[in-house]
Amino acid sequence: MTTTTSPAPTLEVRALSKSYGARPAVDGLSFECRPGSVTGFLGPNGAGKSTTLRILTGLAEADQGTALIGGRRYRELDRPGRSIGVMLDARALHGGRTGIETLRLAARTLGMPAARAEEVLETVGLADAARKRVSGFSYGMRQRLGIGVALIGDPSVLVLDEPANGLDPEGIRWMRRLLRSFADAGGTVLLSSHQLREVEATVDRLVVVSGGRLVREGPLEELTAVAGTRVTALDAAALRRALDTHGIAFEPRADGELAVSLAPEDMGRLALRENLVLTSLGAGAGTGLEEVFFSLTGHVEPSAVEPAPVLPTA
Amino acid sequence: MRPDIDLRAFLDTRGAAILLTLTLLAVLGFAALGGLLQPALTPDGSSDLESTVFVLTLPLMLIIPALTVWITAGEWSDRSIQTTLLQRPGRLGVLSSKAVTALVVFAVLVALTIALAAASTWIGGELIGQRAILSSIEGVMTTQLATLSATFLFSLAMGVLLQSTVLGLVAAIGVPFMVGTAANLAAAFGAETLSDVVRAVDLTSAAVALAEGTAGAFELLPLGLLVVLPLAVGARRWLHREIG
Repeated sequence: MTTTTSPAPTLEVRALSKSYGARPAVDGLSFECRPGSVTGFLGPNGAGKSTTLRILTGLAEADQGTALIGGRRYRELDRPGRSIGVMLDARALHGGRTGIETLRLAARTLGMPAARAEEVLETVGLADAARKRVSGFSYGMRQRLGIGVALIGDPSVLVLDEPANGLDPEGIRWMRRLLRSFADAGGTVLLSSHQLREVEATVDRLVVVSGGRLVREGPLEELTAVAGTRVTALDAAALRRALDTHGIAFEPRADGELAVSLAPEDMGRLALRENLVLTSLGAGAGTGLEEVFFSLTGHVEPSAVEPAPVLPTA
Repeated sequence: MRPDIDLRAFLDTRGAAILLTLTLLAVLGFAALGGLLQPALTPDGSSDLESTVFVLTLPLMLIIPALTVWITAGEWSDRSIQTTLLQRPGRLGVLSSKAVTALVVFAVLVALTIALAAASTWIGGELIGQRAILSSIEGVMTTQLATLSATFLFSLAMGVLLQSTVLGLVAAIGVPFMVGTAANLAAAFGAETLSDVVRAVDLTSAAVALAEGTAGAFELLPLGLLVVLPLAVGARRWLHREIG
């Protein structure tokens, strides 16, 4: 985004539902992405992320609910690439065209000057591969070109599905800077990714889905704080009741432990007030998005159940 | 509707460059074969335009389906339809635009074919043989042009209906071949019922009859069954098919 003449549109998903046969892919999903922020869209495989993004961008039709960009459906937008840049699948780029032809065609479609193609090719770091055909690109290069196609119309909204896939560490750093500067300039970014560390380093807000439903939405700090304090009590049921009574979010962990969205000292005060005997209390070691993700989506951390692979000895 | 974009999108791929080069070579080769060699094969040493175009029709019966199906269905097969529809979400507009693009390519190809056929017929008849017969252009416009138009329309319908390059090509080339074979068998065995059934799906014969002005209501049946119906079903599928 190079200009900020008007605020970027908000992305709104309202009560969205979509089923394939009897299987619901998206089930009453609602969330928002606001201008000036990078929103991470997280969920395990089959959680409904890609279906939601396809509905948002007019590639699929919802059974119920709406997905709007600035209050309008994607298909109603005139030259949508001028307001929303989308990269869902880098393999959808035609392999028979060169990098520069791909961008020139996109620029022409969106009514952008032809020089914009060279400019974007430089931005995505593919200037040296301008004359190379896309079929000869590595996956990382395709990702960069896909992001270039998304940026060609100088949009104020970016929707990217797994943009870091195939990128080398330098490419990931480049993408992180790109998204940050885009949001800092007032743009709206919705980023779907499996790479939790990458998401944690990039996003401001999180939308976590599982089984097609919204599990949690909010600022990254707030959500990661959920796993901030680990607590166990002599009477686990009484502890849960007390937390419910005070409206404090918690997630059950292994061995009856709860991850609570309170600072340890506040948890101690609450236990005192409720006459609870705590058997352990403290900040959880290694708290972060990965733990939040596994606890919110109900997926078990692989390391917790799977034995470490045995390496052959020499 | 942006046929300029679709034409450019078609032309600037490597596959299209190869296909168009082969098309040009085939048209030039068959034009030479038809126009220049005719005097050596005819008793009066003449070269007839209609015969030259007939020879050229043989490769065009393969080239027209290839180009038309590629333009209409190619992006579905290579998945680049996703990029197209993200930039141009009006699906009906994209479909119409691709149909217009295919029509433009077909018209240019046919015009080039007739021009080359006329040139090679004149060279063959006047410079190599005894005489060139260019007055048969009327027969070209009714029989050959109608045949090529039927091929184009059926290919367009198959591309729109099947939205797959491979399936579209198999149907666009295979079905007319099967209908032609069935028509010959029906005629050979004198089976009237089979003959009527074949007539109902013989688009080429119906197109020629329409062009000659001898068509009845029955000749509209192949047009409805093989062009209008698949186009309508394909357009509906095009509008609602999920991409991803």
